[in-house]
This record gives sequence, structure tokens and C-alpha cells, in this order.
Amino acid sequence: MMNAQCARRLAWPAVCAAVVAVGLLASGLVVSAADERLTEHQVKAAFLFNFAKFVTWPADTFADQNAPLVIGIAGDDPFGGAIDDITRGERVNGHPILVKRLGADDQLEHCQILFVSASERKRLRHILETLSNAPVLTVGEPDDFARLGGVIRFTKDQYRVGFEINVDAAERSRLRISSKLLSLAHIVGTPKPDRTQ
Amino acid sequence: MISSLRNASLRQKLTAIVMMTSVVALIVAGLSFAMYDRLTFRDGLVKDRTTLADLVGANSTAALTFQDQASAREILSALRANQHVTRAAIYDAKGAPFAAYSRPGDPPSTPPSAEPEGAGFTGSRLAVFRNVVLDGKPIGTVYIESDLEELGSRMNRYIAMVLVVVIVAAFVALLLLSQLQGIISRPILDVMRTAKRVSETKDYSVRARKYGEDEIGTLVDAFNEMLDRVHERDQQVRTARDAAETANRAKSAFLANMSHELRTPLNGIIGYAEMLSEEAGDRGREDVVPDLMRIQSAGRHLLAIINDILDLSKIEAGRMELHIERFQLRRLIDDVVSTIQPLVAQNENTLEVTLARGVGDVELTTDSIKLRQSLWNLLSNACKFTTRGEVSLTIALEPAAEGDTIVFTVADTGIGMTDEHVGRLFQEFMQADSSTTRKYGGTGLGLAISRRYCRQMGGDITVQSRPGVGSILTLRLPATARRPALAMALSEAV
Repeated sequence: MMNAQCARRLAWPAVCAAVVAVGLLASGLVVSAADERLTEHQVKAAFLFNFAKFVTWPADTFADQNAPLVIGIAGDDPFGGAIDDITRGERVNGHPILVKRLGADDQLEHCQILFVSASERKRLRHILETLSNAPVLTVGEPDDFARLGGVIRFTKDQYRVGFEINVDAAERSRLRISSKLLSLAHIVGTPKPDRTQ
Repeated sequence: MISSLRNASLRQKLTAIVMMTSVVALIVAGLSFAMYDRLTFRDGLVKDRTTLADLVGANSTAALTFQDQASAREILSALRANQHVTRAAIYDAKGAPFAAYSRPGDPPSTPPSAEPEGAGFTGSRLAVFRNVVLDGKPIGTVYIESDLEELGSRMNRYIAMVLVVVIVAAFVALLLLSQLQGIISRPILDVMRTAKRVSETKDYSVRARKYGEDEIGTLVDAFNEMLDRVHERDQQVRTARDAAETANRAKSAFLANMSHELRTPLNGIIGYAEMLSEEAGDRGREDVVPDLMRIQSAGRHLLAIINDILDLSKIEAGRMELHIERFQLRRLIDDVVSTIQPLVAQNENTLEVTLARGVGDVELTTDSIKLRQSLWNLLSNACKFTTRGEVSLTIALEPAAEGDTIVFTVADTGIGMTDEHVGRLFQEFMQADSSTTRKYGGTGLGLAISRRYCRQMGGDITVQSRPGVGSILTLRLPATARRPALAMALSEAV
């Protein structure tokens, strides 16, 4: 009994390591042991997934405990499949993760997290207005993303990837963002609509 | 310690026993509580630091997830609030250090490598490792290291408390003891004082006071009952002694009076017998002279007996006094030898007197009359029990530092005595055999009186004898009668 338990305890990290290694190999990202530094988009892909752990959606968002948490990518996928590797087999609060790549015609409200790619620059304002009251965590990269009503914008300084959060937008979308996440973020608000227009 | 208590007073013993017991009990109890408290406190400390580590872990989930080391360091820096946290660190999922903290003022040090969850005391440190879990998955580890100064200072305070409690309790115990020890010591001391008083004053009417119905009460009862008996017995003895003394005095007085009363008519009988024998010679009635001489001789014998009885009664009554004087030994010997000659001749014995060299010139300081009488008694005894034999008197001087001793030895070749007879020799009215009284005459008082005289003068008479061979009687006497010997002899005489 004890031996079996020990064996299982020892086996788990090994299995995990094997799974990760196989995943990385399959995605074509061969990372050497000496240099574990990830690319900017790999980091962003990981962040995108991890936001799910610090955000609480309204109670009526999920139909049941097994309903998937959908991460949508509007436009071109800048992560090159990294998001699929990271989220494969993962669950957040019991919800399996489903990554969807969405075209111009797809409904965006069904996502819980929506990454708006740089390719959708022209549609950006429209998308954000459409989703301004929907419980969707919008994530983007453009400098004016948050100002336009997006919830989280990736930032980047010399060393690391960071983010800013528009707390007004989050509130409008009825998203509750953990204070732990907020404490890491640069907090912004949406300027009053009458002033922007 | 216990042996040194043996001669301490009851009070001190009680105090020592109670104090020792209570102080030891208090110290043992105090130290036990201290040990228990130490264990409890250690457990509490582990729990506290584990909670702290969990708190830090929960706060740093976002920082770990989003690789924000600055934020993690900020979270750790909040540990400044607890000055006992010496070091802390956060590790990522792979165990690599992510953020570290050292207590302000301490030299910065690299945290140890990550370990599985757990807590352990190492020397003066408590090290706690806790996993950081997010959404059911471990995403890192928190390490918190604390010093044990809290524990140390708590123990110090505890021990100081125990000491204060012990001292205060000992003081209170001492106060209580000084009030309460009387319950045990007072009755015992009372019995002791009573016993002391009884033995000092010989007053058997005092009684020990009884304080209660305990073992000491029983002791007091038994003691008092014993005193009752002793008192009763003492009074009986006193009464008996008084009666005996009275009777003895009456006897001595009676003897003295009777001797006197007897002597008066006896002197008359002897005197007239003498006159008659002289008158009979003058008138030519020679035939009655021997009979008159027998009356005379019997009268003198009776007078000697009465004198002996008188002497004895004086000795018994303690009225015999010594008349110490200084005289020459030779004159005394000449006197005794000349007066004993008729007795020597009576049984056709020969008397040989031997004086050691220089003894004749010795001067004695003692009662010459009593010494003469004693010597005369010894010689007359020897002559009386020897027929056609030899009687010898040898006189020698034994020099000694505390005073010379003069030794008279009277030896005869007479009938001698058995050991049984020797044992009874010096008892009053006892001759070696009651049949001898009839055969040889005499009162049997001579030797007894002689020995009493000698003892009174600080000397003694001893005897050696073999039946049919003869007897040797030895009279030893200090050349100078000593006062202590005198006192002793007097007390014995009484």
C-alpha cells in the first residue's frame, strides 16, 4: 500500500513532465533545457489562460459545472497554437477550456474571454461596443484598447509583459476581477463617453 | 542533610519536612507546567507560521502566475510586521527562487532550496515550507523562517514566575506552619517539659496536659498513668523507708540503752566477784576462789559482748566517729602483742611477729584505738581457732604515689574455712559455722566490726583460707587516713 502510494507520488511529476515535453515537441516549440525563456506570445498566451483563474463571471454565464469556458480569438491567431498547448486538458473552476478562432461572422457573446487580434483593428470599436455590457473579458494589444472599453490590455516594457485593466469596463461587463490580479495591473478607467465624443 | 536534622528540634524538623516537601512539589509542578507550555507553545508557533505561510502563498498566487517578482517581493516585505520572521522566500513550481525576504537589519542571505511541505525546528530556528496552490494545482512554495526568541523569553518569564510562586508559596507555607505546627509540637513539648520537671524536682504530682484524642493524647494518657503509678510507688517507698529508718533508729537507741543498762549491773557483778575472790583469799577460803574467778571471767566476756554490740549499734546508727591522731607503729604493735599473749598461751600456740625493714619507725595518722582493736580481733580469732600451732603477724609497707599503704597479715595453722564459710565471715553474728559458736565461743561480731572500722579508715580486710590448713587474713590501711575515704566509709556505714 505504502509502496504503491509512493510510486504514484513519484510517478505524477514524471508523467506531467512527459506530457509537457510531448506537447512542446508536437507544437514545434523545441525549448532547450538551458534556455527556458519563452517568446512574448507564449507568455501572452499563458496570461490569457491564467486570467480565467482570477476572474469571476456572473452566475448565469455557465449552464452547468461542465459547461466549457470559451477563449475566443477574433482575427488572426498571433499565438501560433501556443494557446492550444497551454489549455489542453486544463480546467478552471471545473470548467474545461475551449479555444475558438472566430471569423467576422461568428457570434462573439458566447466567449468568456475574447482576444481581439491586431488584424481586427478596424472592427475594434464595433466589437467593444457590442460587447460593452456582455460578460466577456476582452483582451487586446492596441494602445487605446482599454480607453475604447476593452477590459485588459497587454503592455510590454523592456523586460516583461504586463497588463492594464479598465475596471469600469469590467464592472459594466459584470466581471469580478480578483484584487490579486488588480494588484499586478496598471489600473485605468474609461473616460466619460461625452468627453471622448 | 537528613542526618543533620537528627538533632534539630521538633519545630525545626517539622518546618524542614514541610518546606522541603512543598518546595519540591511546587518546583516539580512548575517545571511540568513549563514543559507542557513549551510544547503547546511550539505547536502554536508552528501553526501560526504555517498560517502565515499559507496567507503569503494565497496572496502571491497572481504574482506567481503572472511572473511578477516585484509584487511577490512586496507581499513578502509585509512580513516586516513580525520581527521574529528572519527569512522568507517564494519559489516557483519548479522550486527555483522567485522572491526572497530577509529581516531588516539582518545580513541578506540566500534562502535554502525548496523542500516539500512541512515544519521543523533546527537549532534556534523554525523553518516552514508551504505549497502555493491555485485552482487545485501547486504553483509554487512559500518558505518562512522564524527565530525562537518568543519561546526563549516565554520560558524565561515562566521560570521567573515559577520561582516567584515558589518563594511566595514557601513564605506563605512558613507563615501557616508557624501557626499550625503547634498542633503537633505543643503536646509533645508539653510532655517533654513535664518529664523534665519530674526528673529534676522529683515531684510526681505534676501531670502533662492533654490536647486531643490522637496518638499524642494516648501518649499523654499513658505518661500520666505511669506518673500516677510512680507517684503511688514513690509514696509507698517513702513511707516504708521512713518506717524502716524510724525502726532502725529505735533499734540502735534500744541497743545503746540496753547495753548501758546491762553494763551497770554487770560491772557490779564483776566488781563484787573480784572483791569476793580477794576476800576469800584473805580469809583462807582458797577453795571458792576458782569459782569466783569463773564468775569474774564470764562477766568480763559478757561485758566484751555488750561492748561489741554497743559499737555495732553505733556504727549502724552512724554515730561512730574516727579519732585521727599521729602515732608510732612500733608502740601499737608492742601493745597489741603484749595484750594478746594470754590468748596465745591458752591454746599452746606460738606467735611470731615479723616487721619489714624500717616499718617499725613508720608513723601512722589514723584512729589508733580502732586499728588496735581490729588487729587484736584478727589475732584473737587466729589464736581461738588454732591449737598447738603457729600464729604469725607480718607487717609491711607498700609505697605508692597517692600515699603509702600499711599491710598487716595474720596467718594461722588452724582449722581453716571452706569458700562458703569465707563468704559469710564478715556478716554480723555469723561465725564460720554455728557449731563453732558452741565449741569456740565468741559473738561473731569481731571480724564484722573490724572490717567496718578498716573501711571507715579507708582500708579493708580480705581473707584466704583452706579447711584444715589454716587462714590468712590481710588488713590493708592507708598510712594516712584520707578524707574522701572517710566520707565513703561514712556513707557506707549509713
